[in-house]
Amino acid sequence: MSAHHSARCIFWRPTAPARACLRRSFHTSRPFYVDTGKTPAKLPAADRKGKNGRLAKPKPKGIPGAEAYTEEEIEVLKRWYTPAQLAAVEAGEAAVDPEDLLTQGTLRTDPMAFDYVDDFAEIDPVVDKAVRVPKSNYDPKSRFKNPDEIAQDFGKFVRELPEKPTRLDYIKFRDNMRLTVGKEAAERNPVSSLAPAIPKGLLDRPGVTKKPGEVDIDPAMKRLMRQTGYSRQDILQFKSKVLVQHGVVNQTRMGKIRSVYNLCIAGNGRGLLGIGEGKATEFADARTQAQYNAIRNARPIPRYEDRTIYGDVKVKMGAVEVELMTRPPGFGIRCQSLIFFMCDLAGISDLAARVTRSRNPMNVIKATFHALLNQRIPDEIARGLGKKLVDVRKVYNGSSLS
Amino acid sequence: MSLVLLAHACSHLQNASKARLGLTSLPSTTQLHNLLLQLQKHGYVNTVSLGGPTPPPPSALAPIMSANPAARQEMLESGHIAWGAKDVPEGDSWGGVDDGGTVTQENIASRRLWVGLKYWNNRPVLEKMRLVSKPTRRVWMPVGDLERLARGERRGYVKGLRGVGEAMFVTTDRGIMEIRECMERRIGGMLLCRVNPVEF
Repeated sequence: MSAHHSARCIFWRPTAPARACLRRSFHTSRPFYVDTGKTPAKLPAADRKGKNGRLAKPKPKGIPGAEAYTEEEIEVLKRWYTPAQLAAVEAGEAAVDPEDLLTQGTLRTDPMAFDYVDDFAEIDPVVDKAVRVPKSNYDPKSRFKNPDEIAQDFGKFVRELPEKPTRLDYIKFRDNMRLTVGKEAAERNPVSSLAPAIPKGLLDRPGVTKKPGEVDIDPAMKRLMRQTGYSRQDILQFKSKVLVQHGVVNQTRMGKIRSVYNLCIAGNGRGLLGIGEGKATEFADARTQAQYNAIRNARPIPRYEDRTIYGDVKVKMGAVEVELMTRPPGFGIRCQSLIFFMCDLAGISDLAARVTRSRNPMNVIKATFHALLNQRIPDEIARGLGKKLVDVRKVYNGSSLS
Repeated sequence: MSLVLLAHACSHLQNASKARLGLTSLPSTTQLHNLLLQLQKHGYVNTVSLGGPTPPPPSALAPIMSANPAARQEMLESGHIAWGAKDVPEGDSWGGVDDGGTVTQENIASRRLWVGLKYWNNRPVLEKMRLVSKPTRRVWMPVGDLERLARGERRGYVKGLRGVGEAMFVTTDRGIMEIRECMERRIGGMLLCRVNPVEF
């Protein structure tokens, strides 16, 4: 909006408070129709078009904002304006034709109308097409002044100095001094075929450039943030642990290609747990890959009372058979190390487990993850059976349990 | 009472659930019929009805042993559902040669128990059903042991009921009933089978 606001514009207040725009918008100003939920006031149907199809001149009576100020309004204005300012305000109001208020002060409703509010008084360097310098601001004969010409300019400046020169005079000379001979516009505002520079202040906007305290985010982390929707802080809060690491070899006709395999688990200690695998020639790369994959795969684990699992679970994966058993409060995690770390990161504190048959670490981890995810929730079972289910622990110990 | 038929029934119900069948049939015996009615009472199967070699009409498949007593009573009083020979009025049958719910001396060999299976969230409600007593080794237990079983403890060779929604059926001198009902009535008996909505 331009600076030419009338006092009415300043004191005007919407009848309904404007809501924040819910829909993602590509415009910097707020969309009018979305926010208010109703179309702007239309002219009466009879007045909308005259006989020749153009806008007929509407009658000025009843135009909101065209009436003179009431005594109370003037009292309010007096509090803010000096009498001279108030006189100027009134003169300005009188100068506006009330018909203009009606014909130009309304929002367009035609199909080509913009769906956002703007008076187009300013050029937005982001949205609008850049204004180029006219090609006439070019002088092929322009050249730099030689020392004699500069000395002449300086002599002229000294001669024309007032008796008591101020600092301002020197600054004016410094800033306005010309260094070339020829067209003035060619020096002050030269034409250029280069793309317009990034406007001043644009890079200071939040999110455009790095602030002093910010750190570089590597592309893998950025990708993870984009895929999961977690912030960097959220991701850093995940605890992770590499449970399996060993070298692997790919035999090609050129020879053996060695790389490192990592299997990592990640959890937030509050019910989220994921496992991820990574393989790279460098150990650090494999670790990062596995860790990010684990965070990417993080799934919520159903936990009874935030401490144990619902019922006993049995899963077979490959030759590994894992049996997880629910346990009472204070039991602890009594099982082998791999399952212990998984429960620890998932935030399970009471559990027993048994691994029968094979104990291949990779498959134990995968089977445990599958088992934790595939618990059957008693509520769902009860719905299937058509029974009503009540947790009696919560009935008897209601005060001590949430 | 042979347990062989019961063993076959257990496997058959598991298989039918895995195949996502809506309706299946079992040989008609009193033991199976009573067990199925208990299964229905505890919500593991939808409907149980006595019929011939062909499936009964849909009207006969209403849940007559609904967990809601009022609904059950209403079903029985409405009279058009037969669930036992003596409940069927004279001349009221499912018509034709296949004489539906009426059990007579001529058709008793061809009777089948038609069971409507239940599914919830795309999974069978009855996923696992196993014998506890085997034909070669029956297991009897007094009520004290049944209580400990129901609490999840192991008694002898029988594992406790630790699964979510797991039930065990016991045959007593008061008929077949669930283990918790046995505890309520303070009677022991022979453990027939255990039923699990989860195949773990």
